[in-house]
Amino acid sequence: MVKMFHLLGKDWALKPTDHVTFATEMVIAGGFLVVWVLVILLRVHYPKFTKIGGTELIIGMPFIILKGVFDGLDTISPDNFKIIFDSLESSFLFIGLILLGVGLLRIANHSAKIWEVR
Amino acid sequence: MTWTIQAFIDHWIIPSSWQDYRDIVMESLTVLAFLFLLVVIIISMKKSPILNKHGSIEFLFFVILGFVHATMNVFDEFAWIGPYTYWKLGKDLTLLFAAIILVVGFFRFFTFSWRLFGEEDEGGRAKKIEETTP
Repeated sequence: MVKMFHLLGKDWALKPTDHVTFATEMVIAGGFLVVWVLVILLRVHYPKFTKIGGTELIIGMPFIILKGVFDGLDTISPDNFKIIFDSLESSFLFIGLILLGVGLLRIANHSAKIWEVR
Repeated sequence: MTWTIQAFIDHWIIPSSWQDYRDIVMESLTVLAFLFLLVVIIISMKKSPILNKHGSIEFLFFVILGFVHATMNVFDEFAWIGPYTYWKLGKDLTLLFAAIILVVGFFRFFTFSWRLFGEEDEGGRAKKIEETTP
């Protein structure tokens, strides 16, 4: 059964062949959402430890979550929207990854300092 | 070998419009971003080896799988793969495993910080929770 809905003057459809793909993409977005929650919990519980690097991770993760969401939209969107979602998806992933990288690097530097003192 | 590749790839795509080029540029940038992350992880693992058992290895595997996903993404801009649904599913499953590994990595990093800083990080909520638990 093809589930169809009408949006922005076009027909969007979730074809039976795309069910597993769409579900996988939504689970990916959910997985990154869990990471975001963990990062926020770390920030709330250990403000001193995460003062350096934590903010980048908190800002960066939503971009990666949005990558998953756009991936899903790309699967169900009409053909002329696919290329827009494809580009949006990679732009968001790029921004998210750079922020993640900067955050992790700063955390590593910071924790290296902490354990040197101990 | 040639036969296998031909069965796999339906036809090659020659990028024609500016949207195609924009797409290729953006997707190549994500490949570069994963390479950047790989360098970051290697530096982090050298700088704080104590984190290797508490999340760094998982981050490394996340980056490797993510890199494979991004490369597959760029590749299918140039080649139309026969059963596209399966190809897309393959790409997505790679990223799904990467996401699961990242969750595990962050969870281990979280539990490690909890053990290490549980009572020490003043001003945070951790101390209050520790105090209320019997």
